[in-house]
Amino acid sequence: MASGLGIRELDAVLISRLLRDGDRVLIGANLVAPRAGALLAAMTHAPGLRICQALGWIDLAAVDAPTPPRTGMDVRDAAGAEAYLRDHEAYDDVRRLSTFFVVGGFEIDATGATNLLGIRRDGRWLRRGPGAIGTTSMAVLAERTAVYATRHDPAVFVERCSLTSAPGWRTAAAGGGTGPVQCISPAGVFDFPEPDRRMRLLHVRPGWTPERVQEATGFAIAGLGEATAVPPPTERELEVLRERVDPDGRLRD
Amino acid sequence: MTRLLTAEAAAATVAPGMTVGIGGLQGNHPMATIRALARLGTGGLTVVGPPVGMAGEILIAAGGVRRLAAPYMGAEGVVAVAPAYRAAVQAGELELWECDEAILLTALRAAAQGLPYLPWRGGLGTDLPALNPALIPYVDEPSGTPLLRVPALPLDVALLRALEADEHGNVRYHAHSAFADPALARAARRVYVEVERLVDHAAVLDAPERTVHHRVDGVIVAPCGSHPFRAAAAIDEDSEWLLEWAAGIRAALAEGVPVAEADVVTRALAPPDHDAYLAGLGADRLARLTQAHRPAAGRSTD
Repeated sequence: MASGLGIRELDAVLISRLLRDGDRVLIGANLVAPRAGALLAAMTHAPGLRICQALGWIDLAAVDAPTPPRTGMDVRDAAGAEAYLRDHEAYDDVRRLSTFFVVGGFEIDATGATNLLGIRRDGRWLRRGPGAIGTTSMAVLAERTAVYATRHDPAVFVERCSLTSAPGWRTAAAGGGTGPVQCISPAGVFDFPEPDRRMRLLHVRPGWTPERVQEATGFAIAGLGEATAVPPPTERELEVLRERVDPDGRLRD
Repeated sequence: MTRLLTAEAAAATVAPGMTVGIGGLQGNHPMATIRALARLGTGGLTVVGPPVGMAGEILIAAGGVRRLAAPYMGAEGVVAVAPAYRAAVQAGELELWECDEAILLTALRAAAQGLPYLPWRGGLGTDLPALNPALIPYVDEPSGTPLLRVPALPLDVALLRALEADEHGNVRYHAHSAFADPALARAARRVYVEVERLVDHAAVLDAPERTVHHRVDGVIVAPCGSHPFRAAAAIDEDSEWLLEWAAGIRAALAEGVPVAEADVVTRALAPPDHDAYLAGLGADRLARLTQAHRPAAGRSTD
């Protein structure tokens, strides 16, 4: 493993590996590492990937240095745009909106459902979350989704979400969609294999063991015995990430 | 006939109980007008939007909002969840019209088209229909497709913010910063737009393709009016102010002080108009926030 590799740097590498040449990628709110992952993919194995940043479809070949991945919606971050995504019309062209979408949640369940709405009991809100943002519909409209967590503990990884803002495999069929292809957390990388589509540990991240991942998860995880270590970033991935995608070291903070 | 008016005059057209749409997307919010509305104390409002952002937070803190339709209430990367909004929801004082961005835009489109509802694909297999009974899952008979029936969400007033307008109410934005504002405007009976500056009507005639809203009901000139939020080609986000706001609301809640009486709320609403509000921020702070937007020699910010 590369020395001093930050958690969010590895997040970006793992997201990058989920992306394909030809993908159109719109990354939602507060997801700095996934935004970096999309840039990394475009600069390595997926040169035909198209990224929507600050609602601009960016031609990376036309910019010397891409805008660093950051939060917020500042139209200056669309530097190098060859076209704008006009927000009020975004959902009028769903075939071209995004082939891949990253979904977050403060609860994530065993089949990949997520909760950004909050927690209710007896008809009252115990804790209100930020709201569904765009995740409810994007989970259906995107060809592929991935769940991204910045914490891994039993309060986040629960058997069933208190409320569901974006469906996992358990309920996705109700809307004619599917569940996420993977879940990436600070503990590991997970998929959702047939037949039951419950979360399975594929790779363990540095500092974690399969046993510790299970202890930090509120449901039984499959694949503990077969899980391997996360394949570390290649020299090229790390070079492009640090020199071109994230020269300011935002992901290392 | 001029369509110029003050933020106070625009806010005064909003009657108690009306449905008010707020424009912008994590910035570009008409905050001078929203502050004027909060100062008036108009109550029982249903607030729609912004699609992403916490522009409605100050109205909620002032106690004017009964119901809210907004897919995300926070300032990305600064304040994850708007604290007055969260507290009002948890206290049972703020009713939610649960939605995500696409569902909200579908509801606004239905209103714009004069339809009772439109179908949508998202929301099935989630708890949104359970939380918002106005969203009704159904199966489209000819195709067998499961869909969500999204009712129209008509607005009495849309409050928006743009870069510039002429005095006749022809409105132009910087780059693509209109965001979802056209959807709000089309769903609204009346539209008021706060702008950074006026432009001559001749400039509008020279480039009619740049007019996004045609002859809106009122134009409010309020430089830096979107503070504390960013506005394209005008002002950066004041993250320091937002963090102070969040800390102040949380402190009030911890001390049992009503949110409407929190220091940060009374301070934000104390200036009687926008000029006084800017004066209260101070020239140094404004200079810092607007520095990046001053045009370099020979370059336009448009």
